Amino acid sequence: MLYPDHLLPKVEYRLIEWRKELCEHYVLRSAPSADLIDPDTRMIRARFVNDNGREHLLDYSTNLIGIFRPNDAAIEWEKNERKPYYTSTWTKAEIVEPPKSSDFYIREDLGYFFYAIDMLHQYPQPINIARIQPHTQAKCYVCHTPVRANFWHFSVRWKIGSDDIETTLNKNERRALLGLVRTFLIEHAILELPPDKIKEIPEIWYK
Amino acid sequence: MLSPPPSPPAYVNVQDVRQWTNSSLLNNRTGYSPAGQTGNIPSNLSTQQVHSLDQIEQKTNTLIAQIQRTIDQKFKKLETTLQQRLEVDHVLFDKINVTVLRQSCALVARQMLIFLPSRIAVDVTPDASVIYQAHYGDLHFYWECFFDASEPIPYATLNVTHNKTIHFSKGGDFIAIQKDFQSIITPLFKKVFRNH
Repeated sequence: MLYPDHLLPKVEYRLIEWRKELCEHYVLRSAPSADLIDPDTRMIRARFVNDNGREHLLDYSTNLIGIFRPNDAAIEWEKNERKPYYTSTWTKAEIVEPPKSSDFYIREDLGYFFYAIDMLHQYPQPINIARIQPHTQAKCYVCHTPVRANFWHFSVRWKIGSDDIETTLNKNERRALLGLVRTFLIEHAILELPPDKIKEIPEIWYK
Repeated sequence: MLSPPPSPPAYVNVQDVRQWTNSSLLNNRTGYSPAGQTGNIPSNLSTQQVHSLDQIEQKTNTLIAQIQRTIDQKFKKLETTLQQRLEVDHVLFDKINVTVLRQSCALVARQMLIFLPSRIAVDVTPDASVIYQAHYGDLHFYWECFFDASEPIPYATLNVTHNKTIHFSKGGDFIAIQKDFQSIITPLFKKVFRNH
């Protein structure tokens, strides 16, 4: 099976800079199971919004929908020595060697959900940190973080001022922020995205 | 690296939630339904005409028993779900004092259930935490307990949303968060039932 060419960064591509038009777009977050919805609340299960735990406060991995399609989320990397190469950051003008069929497989149990970039962008939600009174905001922002096997990889990050939360907050403050972020991600997860919401990504953004 | 996009300030104030007395926040969508409305309690229990104090007492007792049964059933279901989740993710909770975990979780579940949520669920997270989510009408409460072998009392967080906006967010020890939960939900609950 050939790796989808539309995911690979091309030598003429460049980073997609932040622009307000991104707010009309959506990012996809993949999950390890299709059984996403808690039947008791009819909302996404808490354990799937950030299934790697608090490290996601540093870098919440998503994909810009448009050229990246929901089915692409089914691609899973084999745990071989080539995986780190494909999942590491792509740098501008770098030529990527296409993955071989032995480097990846297609996951059968596939789950994904979406976030409106506009909604993420409108964060911060407040965080009340007694040590840094009266209020300190945990800001969320969305940025393009292409990796070698996926040009459309975007990160959602939370910071206090200009610092990563890991360096700014103590253990309990991180937990408080984590509870807040988890709530935010559960509330704003979009389980089904109508096709008309998926917009084309203008070439001028990345070429 | 891109710089963060500009964002408007947004602060939370505990009073914002505590001062909400608009019963429409909870109206008709708690687990309990006042006379003639849909919900967990059959409407015939409260809409039939009564003619004596004995009849009123009998109906009241039946209603109380039914509410208690509903709470017990939901509690049992939450306990079962939690047990299943803990078995799947047992590695995360290996070093945790089971008694503390069980006791804390049962307290959260019962506290949330006595205010008759329309929906309630429990899940565990990769951060060795257990999160309870209860819906009271349009208000969604998220009460998360973080477990750590070195902490005799769990750290907890309480987040309250209305129309997807977080109106209350706080972390603290379990007892403090329990007080916050009650101070928010009790006046709203009383207000709803006074209006019916």
